Amino acid sequence: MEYVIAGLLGFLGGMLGGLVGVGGGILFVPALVILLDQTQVKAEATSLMAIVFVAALGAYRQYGYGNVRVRDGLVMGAFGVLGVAGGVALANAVSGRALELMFAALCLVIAAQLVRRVLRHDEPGATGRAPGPP
Amino acid sequence: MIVPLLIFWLAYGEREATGTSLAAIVLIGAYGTIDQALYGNVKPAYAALVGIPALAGVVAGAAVQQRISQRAVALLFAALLVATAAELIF
Repeated sequence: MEYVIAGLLGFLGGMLGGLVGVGGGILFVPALVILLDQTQVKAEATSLMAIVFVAALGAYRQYGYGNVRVRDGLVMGAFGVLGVAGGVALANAVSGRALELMFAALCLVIAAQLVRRVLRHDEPGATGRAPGPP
Repeated sequence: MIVPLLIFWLAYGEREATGTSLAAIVLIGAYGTIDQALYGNVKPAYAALVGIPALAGVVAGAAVQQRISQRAVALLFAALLVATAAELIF
């Protein structure tokens, strides 16, 4: 039964990836820790492997819909890799709880900015649908 | 963080930001996976257990995204950020 629920959470995580462009780890990690009895570190590492394939298929589908700027994606990805290295250094310099609170604050500020943008902009096309699928 | 970065700094539309973000995540995830695999922390069978259904999910999610407004995409992303913040705080 645990495997079925883990698979369902996997599906939902993938769906989130397709909808909002994240890897789905927010659901993969709890599925691996709670249902499949993995440690937090192993769950995050295993989740990363799943994310690679999910993001690759998602990017391919989004490319078909005309929603990927490949060069920018590669540049962001390369900077992201550097950011991972920087993040490790930061994680070693600052306490885990402080990092969590800093990241939570950043999430809330960005969420507020996104909502403000939605409320402020009523630009043409903002409420429209995308062109048809490939 | 890639999606808001693309929206606010590079003036991307929401759909383009999410699609381009996925492309970037492939590189970042691949680097992280190789790094973690060297420490023996990656369990491929469990990655497949959540990852294979997730492949169906990402195809479905991307298809649904083309049928909803960009505003809805932005609000969904904002809700995800609030949920992430709550998880981190509590």
